[in-house]
Amino acid sequence: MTNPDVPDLDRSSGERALDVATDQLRHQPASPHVAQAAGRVLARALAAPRRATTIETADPLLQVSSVALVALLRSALAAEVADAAVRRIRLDVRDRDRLHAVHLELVARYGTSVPESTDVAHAVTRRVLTETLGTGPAPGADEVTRHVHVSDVTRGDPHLAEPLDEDEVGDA
Amino acid sequence: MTRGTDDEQVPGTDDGGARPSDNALARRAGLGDRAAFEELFARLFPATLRYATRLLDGDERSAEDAVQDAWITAWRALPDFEGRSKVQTWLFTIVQREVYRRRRRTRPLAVDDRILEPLGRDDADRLGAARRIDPEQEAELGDLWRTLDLALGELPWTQRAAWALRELEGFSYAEIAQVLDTTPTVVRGQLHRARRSLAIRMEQWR
Repeated sequence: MTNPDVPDLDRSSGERALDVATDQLRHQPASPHVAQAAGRVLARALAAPRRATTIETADPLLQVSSVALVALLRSALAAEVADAAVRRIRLDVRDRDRLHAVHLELVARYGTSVPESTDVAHAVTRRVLTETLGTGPAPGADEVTRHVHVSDVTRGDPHLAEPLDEDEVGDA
Repeated sequence: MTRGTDDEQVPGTDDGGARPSDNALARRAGLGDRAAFEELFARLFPATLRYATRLLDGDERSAEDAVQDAWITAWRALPDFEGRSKVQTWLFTIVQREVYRRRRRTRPLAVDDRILEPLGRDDADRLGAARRIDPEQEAELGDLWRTLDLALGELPWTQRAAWALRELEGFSYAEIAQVLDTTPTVVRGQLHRARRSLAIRMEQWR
């Protein structure tokens, strides 16, 4: 621990100048170019298409994108499952764009009731599938298998943190 | 067991209004949450552009192009991001690749460490101008950083990248190693050489 008010006589003047200059460089205000570029870059990034497949629905005239279905599931699960957050959603689409299964991977708050969380997740997933694909046998929602598993835990709210974040705090 | 709120508001709505971590935002963005991506972008974009601009010798247009391609790649790849490392490290790795690609296209690039190159005429002119100002006076004026900025431009590319990640972005040795696709031991050596070279330059300009 060094006192910044006391000159370090063991260090060269070049090293001391480097420290001062480094600190100045860290605190330089952002270039106006940053604000100008931000809007352009964000718009182009969000316009980039993600890899997706189409999924048949009970309505023969309607197909949905896997990207849209994942987003709908995430939004509903995030709103309705309190102590577990979705980490990954994998859709098993085969046989001419038919959805066979949904695999949900959750991160749960330590100490929460895992069966209760997974029951809610199952129910929410079923409802979203029904609303999106329609009812009835394939390609409707009735025969879509739902797999839910909890892969990790967090001490805090899993909607706000990843286990890795807490590992870093613990390691510090 | 219902949450009872619409979490489309990205910042945390419980735990006393705590903000989601960068990694939590990345997870949500990977699942199609555009608001989470926008929040992550707002947090990390300035640093990615600053880093790219520094590595591309202040060429703001090239830096913006490189960073734009990096963020497009990130948006597309986030569904596959597994969260084994910090999203910031993952993102800077993508930026690094884009910057490297552009730099290799535009000029010969020595990726290994080397001694300081003799200054080109333009650099010498710029540095000459810097030398005419007393560094102590510069410190008083708060302009010593400009001298450092010029000195950074003389460093071998990987040393400059390692130094910027460590001193300006606060990365650990292991994180720098991931971004630069090398080992923490190599990073330690690069940083040592970078600091020595920069200190010599700062001394010479006294």
